[in-house]
Amino acid sequence: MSFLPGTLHTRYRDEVRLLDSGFMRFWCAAGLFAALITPLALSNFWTGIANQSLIAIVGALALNLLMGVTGQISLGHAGFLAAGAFTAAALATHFNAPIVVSLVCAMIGGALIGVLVGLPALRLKGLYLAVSTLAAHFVIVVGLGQYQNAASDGAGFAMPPPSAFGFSISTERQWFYALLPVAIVVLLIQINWLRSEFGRAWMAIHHRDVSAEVLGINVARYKLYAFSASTALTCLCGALSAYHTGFVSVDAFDVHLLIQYLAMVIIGGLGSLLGAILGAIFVIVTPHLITVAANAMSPLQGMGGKIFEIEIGLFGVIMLIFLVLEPRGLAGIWARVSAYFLLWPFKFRAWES
Amino acid sequence: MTIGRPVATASIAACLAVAFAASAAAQTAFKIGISGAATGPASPSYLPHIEGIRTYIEQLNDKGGVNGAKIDVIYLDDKAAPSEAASNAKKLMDDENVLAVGLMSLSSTYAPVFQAASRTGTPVLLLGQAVCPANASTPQMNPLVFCGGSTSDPMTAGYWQVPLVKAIADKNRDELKLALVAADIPISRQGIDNMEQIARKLGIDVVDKQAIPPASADVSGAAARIIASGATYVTSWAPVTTAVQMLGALRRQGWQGWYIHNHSGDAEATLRQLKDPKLVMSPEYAFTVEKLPVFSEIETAAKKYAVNVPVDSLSLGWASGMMLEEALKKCGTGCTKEKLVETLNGLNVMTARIYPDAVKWSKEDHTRPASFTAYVWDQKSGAVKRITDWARVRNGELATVKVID
Amino acid sequence: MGLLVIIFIQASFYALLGLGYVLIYRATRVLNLAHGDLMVFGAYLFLQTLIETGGNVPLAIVLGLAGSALLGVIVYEGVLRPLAGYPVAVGVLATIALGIVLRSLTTVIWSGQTRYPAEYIGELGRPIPVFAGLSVSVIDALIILVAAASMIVLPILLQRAAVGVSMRAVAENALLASQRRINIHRVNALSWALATGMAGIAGVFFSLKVRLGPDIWYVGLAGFAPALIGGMDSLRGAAVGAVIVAAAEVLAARFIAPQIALAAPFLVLLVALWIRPWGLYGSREELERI
Repeated sequence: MSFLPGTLHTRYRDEVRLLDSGFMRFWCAAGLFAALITPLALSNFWTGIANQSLIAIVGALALNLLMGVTGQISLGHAGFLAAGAFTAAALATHFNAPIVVSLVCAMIGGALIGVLVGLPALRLKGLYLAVSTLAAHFVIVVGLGQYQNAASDGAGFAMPPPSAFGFSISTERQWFYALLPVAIVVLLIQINWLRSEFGRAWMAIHHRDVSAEVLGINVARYKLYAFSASTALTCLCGALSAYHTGFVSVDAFDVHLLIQYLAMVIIGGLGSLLGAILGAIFVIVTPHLITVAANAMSPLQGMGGKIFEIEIGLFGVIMLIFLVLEPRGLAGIWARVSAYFLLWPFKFRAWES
Repeated sequence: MTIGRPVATASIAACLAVAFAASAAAQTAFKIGISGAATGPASPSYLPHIEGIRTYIEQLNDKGGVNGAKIDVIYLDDKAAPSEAASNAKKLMDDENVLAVGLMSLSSTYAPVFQAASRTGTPVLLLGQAVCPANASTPQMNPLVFCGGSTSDPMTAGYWQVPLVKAIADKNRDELKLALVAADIPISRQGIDNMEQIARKLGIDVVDKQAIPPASADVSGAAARIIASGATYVTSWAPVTTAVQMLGALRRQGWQGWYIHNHSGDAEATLRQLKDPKLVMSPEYAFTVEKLPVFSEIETAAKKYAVNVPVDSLSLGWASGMMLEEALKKCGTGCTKEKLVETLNGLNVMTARIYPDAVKWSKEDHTRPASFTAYVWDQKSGAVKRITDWARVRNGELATVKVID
Repeated sequence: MGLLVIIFIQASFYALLGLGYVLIYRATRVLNLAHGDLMVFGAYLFLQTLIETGGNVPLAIVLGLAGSALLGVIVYEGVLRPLAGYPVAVGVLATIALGIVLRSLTTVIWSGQTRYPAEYIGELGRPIPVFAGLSVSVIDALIILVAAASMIVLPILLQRAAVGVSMRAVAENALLASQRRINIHRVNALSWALATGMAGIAGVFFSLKVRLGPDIWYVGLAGFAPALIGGMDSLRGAAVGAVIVAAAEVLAARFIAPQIALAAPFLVLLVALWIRPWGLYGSREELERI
């Protein structure tokens, strides 16, 4: 964080602070202000998209924790999202649980699932791990499908409009002001984890787990921590999206959803928090931008029913272009751009920092 | 300054007048939403109908619209996924506040759309090949849902298809040993189980029943079992790809019997592509070989409006457009959601004989009377041919099938 | 006896796909999740040629093959080459994105309607009774021949031909190979062309036997199982894996229940990975990578 020349700390307290320079403090405040007035500037529809992005940010940060930081390939993400969503659905339908209770239960359930999935994963690596997490996904989804057939005759669950702390959350604007603090808190928790012993252990495991073991890190224990932390946050994301969408059905949690989240962390930039955030916003917002562009350029005439297929293809093309041009992702682009401005008029730094 | 002021005031007034007139004119447009499976694996069954209704509405708007007011349609893709349908419903009914929503997708998308409809009071029209929910003519029906789509559902299909098989077998004087084929999805298996019951009640010898996984690469095992059971006739109630796979496997192993299938959006095209003289499709709408005047209308419009699907699959969407036009015409200017529901409750519209019967809804019954017929590929004339009269199918009653020629 | 022939026909189909996966993995160390879509594209090129020429089957097969191979080269040069050296997850996601693009492209160009190219080949698709109730068509015989030919030609290519030795060098250690003046990009492009060409032929056969539509890309996914079972970097393994998977699928469908046929390749895969994670003929180090 202290990459600006001339930032000198004289107290330990300043070293530990998150926002340790006036520059950072100013821009964070400006960003917070911009975030707060966003719903006032956007239409109802786009505020809804912003809400979806906030929820996706939670999910992407969770996946980034497992894949980017700890290096564990996990293809079970869609299954964990489903677990969170169905926990919320079951609690709301059968027990009329308030949203806060649902979210907490989803997180606890997620942590447990994380341990369950993580235990067999301790010995696995690479492709083997990917296949077993994918198997976990199918087990969860098929099981939840059976539950859906039994409890709702296959039709799915409608979620009641939530209310927390006396405020009812029904319009998109209210959702935004409810989701924004959640996303910020999750981000702060992640930053804290990464700066703590957990983060250091996880990054060591990612680099070379044999060396980490030799250094005294209990690799098994920290891998389990990673799995349960990531899955807990993923279930939180699933539960939030269940309430926001208002409808839960197992068909929504398919391989497409997994690919979306993989795209978020990879296009964003594996291993970076900023990357997960940017990737989440990118994957959620871009298809809608494509639709707007397509409608503006050629209304349905001339394209006919092809327009829907073309929009999907265009998203794939944009993903490809991003991956090929900047494999380090959006965070990589950000790093390049900010380095350019920070070092200007110099092209590179003469020493490593 | 002195001369500028009156000029400025006049021009501002003129602009305001134009804007007012424009907005007034825009207000007379009818706003309708359509959510359908335009992409994804189910799209071949539903995209043709979306294109059909789009073509109809575009040519209607070009002719001036409904009593001078254009129909403004918002098309949304739901990829046959309930969650997408849920967000489409929210967007159309809450954000855009449409008068009605046309739904052309799988039945799994119904629940969230119906909920949103009840919440906002928006009528929902099930169009094209969208199946009718089982309770649509009972007191438990959703008063906002109207069935303008397929009446073929697993519980009633047998009342038409089984008599059809028997009639064809009787005509050919063949010994009838029937095998049933389903796709391994609950709705298809239900249809076949129901057909088995009806067949046995009629005294038909049912020798085999097979369920094929919808995505299998090779069904020769199941086909071998059917042949081993001695079946002379095979019937299926499944997606058309299952039927074609099974028929192909049967023929490759030398089976020469008759295959009777229900129907799907490209049934006519399939008959023409496979050219199998013993493959029968049984739809509830007229194929283009009937050479009705409406089909040449559809063809002209399809060429004009850049349609991406075969012309012979547009008929049902075109018929849906006719239903919508009639409903909006009756509703008139100042149409609201409540007024539209009332209009729909008394709707009676002919669809230029694409459906042989009129589409008629009443307050107690939101289903559409249905008649079925059967088509086959005729090798002699090198064209698709109809082989039965139109038979009215009523719930719980066996249809009377008369084979012509 | 008839069952054995059916197994061999299915195995030939899987072998063509599995060999493709292995070739691509050896060259660019990436799991090509777009293989099914490349297969479909080749089949559509075949169909289009049939339509344009009014049924000229040999020309259509040649053009389908050539078109697929060319597409493979384009994909390598455009997508995989710029991504060399980056984490494998990026390459895999790139193939996923490529699959999405190809699927949309085929649907836009040819519409989602199911097509049956078999109507253009007339007699060639008709089953000829061979013996004991078994009928084989010319197409079935062709697919066995093509698969057998690849399994004979490829090893000879890799052992004897100069370009084959280069391919083996690149598969073993790309960095070292590039420093020994082997043009690894040309070699990799050739591997990709071979792989997608074989996938295209497999697609042609599948579309003739079953049907053609943008939705059959999942069939290409099943070809992934023989490659994994045999070992991602072993061609021999892919061939053996193909026979195992085909046998399991056909026998399970015939003697247990047809519903299992779809899951059979993946079930066999799970069992094989449990017993021998690096595949029958694969090398152990490959397990560390994705």
